[in-house]
Amino acid sequence: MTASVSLKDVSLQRGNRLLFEGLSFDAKEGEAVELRGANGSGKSSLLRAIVGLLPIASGAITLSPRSVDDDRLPTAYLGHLDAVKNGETVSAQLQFWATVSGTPGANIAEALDRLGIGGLANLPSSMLSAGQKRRLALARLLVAPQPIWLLDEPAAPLDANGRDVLAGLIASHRRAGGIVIAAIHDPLPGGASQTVDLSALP
Amino acid sequence: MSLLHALLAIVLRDAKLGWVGGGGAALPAAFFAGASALAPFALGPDPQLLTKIGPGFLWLALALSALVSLERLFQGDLEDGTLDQLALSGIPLTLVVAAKVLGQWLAAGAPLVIISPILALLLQIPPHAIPALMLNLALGGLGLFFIGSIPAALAAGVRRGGLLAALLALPLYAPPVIFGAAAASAAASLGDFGGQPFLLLCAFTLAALATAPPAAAAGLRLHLS
Amino acid sequence: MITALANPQRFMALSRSLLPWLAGLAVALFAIGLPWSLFIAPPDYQQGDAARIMFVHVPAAWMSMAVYMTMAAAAISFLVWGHVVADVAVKTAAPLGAAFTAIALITGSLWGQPMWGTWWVWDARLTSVLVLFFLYLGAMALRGAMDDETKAGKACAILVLVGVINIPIIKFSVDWWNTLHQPASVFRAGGPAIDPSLLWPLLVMALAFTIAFAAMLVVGMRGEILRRRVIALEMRRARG
Repeated sequence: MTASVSLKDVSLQRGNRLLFEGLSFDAKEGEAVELRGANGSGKSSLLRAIVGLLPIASGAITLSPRSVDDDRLPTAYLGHLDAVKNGETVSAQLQFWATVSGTPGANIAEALDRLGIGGLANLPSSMLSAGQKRRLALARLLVAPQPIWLLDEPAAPLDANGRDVLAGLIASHRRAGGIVIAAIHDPLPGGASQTVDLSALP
Repeated sequence: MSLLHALLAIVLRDAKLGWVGGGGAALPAAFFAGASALAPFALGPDPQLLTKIGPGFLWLALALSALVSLERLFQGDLEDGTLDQLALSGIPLTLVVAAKVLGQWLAAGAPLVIISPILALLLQIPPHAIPALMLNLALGGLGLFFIGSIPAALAAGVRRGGLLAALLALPLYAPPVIFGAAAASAAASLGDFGGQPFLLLCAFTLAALATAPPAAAAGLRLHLS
Repeated sequence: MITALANPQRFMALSRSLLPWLAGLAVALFAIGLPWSLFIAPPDYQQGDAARIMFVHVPAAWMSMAVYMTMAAAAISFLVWGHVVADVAVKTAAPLGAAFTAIALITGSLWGQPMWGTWWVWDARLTSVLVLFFLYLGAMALRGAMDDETKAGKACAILVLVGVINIPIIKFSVDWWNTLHQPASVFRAGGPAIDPSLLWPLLVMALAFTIAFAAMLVVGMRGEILRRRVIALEMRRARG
């Protein structure tokens, strides 16, 4: 089945505050969507709503492919936070996430190499820099593969080399038919198929 | 099968992180020991009095130790994004909660059981009662940790959430403390093991194991949104 | 009727017309009940006039349970159907229930003093009420701990429901604990064999407490609904 994302007339609320309403856009396989907007416009909240952490106030979000037997959405989420714990080694962390996501046999070493942190595999995570932790978080996308990627400021702590790596990841994901939706201030590495500006909505 | 594998991974990871990091297993054990050791200071060193009150005081220290550890159950994972990822992993959040509580009990509850023989001797509890006492503290601690996960989840991420969680947990702790302390006293003074209070404690722990994870998961979902 | 009340506008309209009646009825019931309990009803043959505190203590204890049940029903209504008025009811009822519980505890203590010479006794009923008091305090603390009103409301609702399920367990465990430790005295209050000359004023007082609670609840809920409207208006003004 091919990947697709469809939002129709979505409105989102945070507490008592209406963030935006009437948002509609579609993304097809191989596409990348840039989410733009001023701080507080609801970019992060929208990503969390698409992955199902935040309920939407009205409208509909349709994702595919959906499997019949489980409720799991075909999404992988990278938030502001890296979910990196200090007490474990780098490869142990990645192995944990692979196991938890149902792919315990994933190739940890290869994922770490692709992100350029293969050499850090046996180091305790407390010794990583912010950029390296971000790369570890990105490596999760490889060991627990899903068709639709939701990324919140993925490039923020990354250096120039890191951004290239990110661009490479996004490009190969799109080539394989995946979709990337990213909330990002700078241009998305590798270019975007469409840009959705949340500040332009009511 | 991979679900079980995943849950086991969560249990072991939480146990390891709790056992190793931030003072490790020694910290809850030391707190438990210190709190128990307050008994003679508070009540006087008379051995007969301590034998009578010792088991109950030990249970009080257990409850306090459990209250103190509530904060660390979900707060850290909520703050660093781990809880987001666990909620999205495809594993039902209820099972994630159960695995985390079990892991935390291994890290913070099991050490208490391990050092309890020493404390039993300090509080003049007869040595023949020690195995029964250890089982009692193990099952009771498990019940306390599970029922405490509900307030821990509701207060996660809130200002002074640890203190709030402890306040919310106090009324919920009344039944296990009543049954557990009575069972411990029965074991210590009468050599009675497996009597009514112990069975009631087991019933409570089983009930907590079954009903706390869904309620705690509901509370966590509030904080994830 | 529940769905009719769930609409805030309809609740405000209904409560506006109902409130004077509730308040009036409460005042009337207290006007009848208080003199009856304090002066007309016969003194207890064992405890004398001191037992008259029962006419406040017993209704207060009944109310502390009844208010919690009301909160539980409202909590279900909020969690399952999202009725905001139900959340307002929970938020308003909690301090009222806590107050009733405190009155029950204090009057229980005052009653105990002339009877047993101590200010507190760990009788099963009083102990259960004490634990209930902590459940109320916890609900109030949790409700006020978060800025997001909806999140706080849902968290409090979950806690109230967890509490309601635990109340029978707590009651059972406290009763069991009490028999284990064999207390010296037993509270004879409000037993099944109560004399009609005492039962009637007791029922009047209980009804007075209930109607007074209903009136105070309605007043509090109206205030909370208006407060939320003001906030919503201010936020709309700030944006527009």
